[in-house]
Amino acid sequence: MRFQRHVNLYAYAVKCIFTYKARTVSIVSSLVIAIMVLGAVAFLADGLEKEAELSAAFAPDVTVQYLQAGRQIPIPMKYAEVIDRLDGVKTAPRVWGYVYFHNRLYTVMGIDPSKMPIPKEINLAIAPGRFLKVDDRRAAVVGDFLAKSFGLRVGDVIVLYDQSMRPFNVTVVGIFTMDVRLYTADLILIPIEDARAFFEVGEDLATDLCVYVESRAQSRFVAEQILKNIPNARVLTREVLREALLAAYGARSGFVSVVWLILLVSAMLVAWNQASAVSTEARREVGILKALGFGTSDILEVRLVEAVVLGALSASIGIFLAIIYVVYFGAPVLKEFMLGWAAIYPEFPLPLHIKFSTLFTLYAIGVFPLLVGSVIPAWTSAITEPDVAMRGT
Amino acid sequence: MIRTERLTKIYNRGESREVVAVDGVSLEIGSGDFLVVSGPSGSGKTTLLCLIGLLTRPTRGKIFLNDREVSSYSDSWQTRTRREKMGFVFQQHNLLPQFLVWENVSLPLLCRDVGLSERKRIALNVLHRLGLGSRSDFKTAQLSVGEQQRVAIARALVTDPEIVLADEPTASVDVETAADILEIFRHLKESGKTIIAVSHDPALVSEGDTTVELRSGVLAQSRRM
Repeated sequence: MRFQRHVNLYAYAVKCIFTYKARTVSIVSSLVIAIMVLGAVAFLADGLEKEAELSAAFAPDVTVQYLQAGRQIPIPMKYAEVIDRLDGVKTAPRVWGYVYFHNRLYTVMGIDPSKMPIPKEINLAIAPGRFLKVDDRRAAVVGDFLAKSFGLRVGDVIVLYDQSMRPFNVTVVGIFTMDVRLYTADLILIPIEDARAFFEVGEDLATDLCVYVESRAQSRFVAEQILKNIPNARVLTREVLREALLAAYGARSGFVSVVWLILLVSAMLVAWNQASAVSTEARREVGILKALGFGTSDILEVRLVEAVVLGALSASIGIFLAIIYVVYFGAPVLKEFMLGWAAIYPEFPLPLHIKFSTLFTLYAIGVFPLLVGSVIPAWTSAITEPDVAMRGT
Repeated sequence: MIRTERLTKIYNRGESREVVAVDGVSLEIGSGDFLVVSGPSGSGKTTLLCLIGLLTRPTRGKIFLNDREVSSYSDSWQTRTRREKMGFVFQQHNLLPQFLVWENVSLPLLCRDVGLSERKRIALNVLHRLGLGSRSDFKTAQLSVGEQQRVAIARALVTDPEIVLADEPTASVDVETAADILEIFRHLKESGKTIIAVSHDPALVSEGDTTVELRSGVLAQSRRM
């Protein structure tokens, strides 16, 4: 059985991990901390990116806002008619704003279901209940977490206070699912007529206009045409919105990654230092093994297995702790930084998403410093004459 | 079986701290012979043992094993030869202190297709023969120096090698243990092993078939008993 020799070497490598406890604990603990931090950042960033992608997917092809002195103001409805004149284009107004409800800030958004093309996916995004209908009045579809926070069910009534602080009742007809929670966590979606009454916005105005284009490839051309016809407009295509969302979260996770990089370098230095600190002993051990008949490849096999097992173990523990930190503890400190302005949203579970590529990167990061820190010194010892290596010099 | 031709080893060659450890030594050791290399400290005895044991390469000269010139062979060939034909007893024992006694003894078997239970059986067998059966599950650091030396001898014998190379096997032990070790070497000699031992212990020197004396790396005297 030729493979028995390899089994012996693997067993010896694992035995070394448990035998040299101080080295093992030092290496594993430093790598676990580094991988836990990066894992938490990466999983959150992946989750936020996924949420951003979803948010963009539900956004209109083009969003038109109106500016005065560089600030957004309500857009006159006459511009909807201007845009509607373009070929293959349909416009739907939105009226939206913010409201305090039980000391939390929520977004109240009014839409016109008769004018807004409702994507098929919307049914998957609502459970239980339904989306708004054309003839609905004082009805609302609310975010999943808002519903859970206040124990809301379909048919329950929410009492909001309008612009003049008068009570404004809406009945819950649907609840968004968890899949779109970042986008919908703070959302109270109501018919546009109710929104106009709530925010006291006249029928000749809207907060912005959603533009839907028959052929999505034409979005950019349509955006250019709108800019030509409405000089003070700010025009956002879905692609621009998506990039803006990704950039916002990407930049945050990028900054955290820099902090993490410093941590990783420190961890690598600790791992390297551990390898160096025992280098005389390790070199002597390699010399003894060589004298006893271990080949260079046998020694590299032992150290390789040792590094892979230690690295994989560290990465696994780090990833597990990262998931616990994000899901169970809600990622304190990191959450405030990663979510930025979104942190003023009502509390909602963090969007954790684990990509295969992220897992691969984390495991590579766990194993690579150890490969460098232990296999290379082992190789240099193994190619040295056993007589010299045994002296540890 | 083993022959050396004008074997020379120079450390730190070309540097101010250059040392000629072994200088033009020619020897011939037959199969089953017991050669003892003696001489004062720093005379090059250990270096000569390392050269014959293929643990270091000569600066000049040749080593023949069964009439094959092996000193210039590749590292992997020399490693295989050490694994298959040689057993070493080092002066400092060179045991791994964190491992158990039987694990230390079975180390040379790791590179062979021998499973765990068989490795342990062979190691325990050798330890029993050397009177260390009750110490097999101890860590080597928990043993006396004499016991550690016997563990080192057990490790050298665990693969049943043709050639046993021992560096000062009785140097750091008490008289009683030295006598035990001498007895072990007598048995090895009787079983037909080729033994090359470095020692200035007169008792061990007297056991050898041939005694060579090194002075400043040079072969000063060779005596066949």
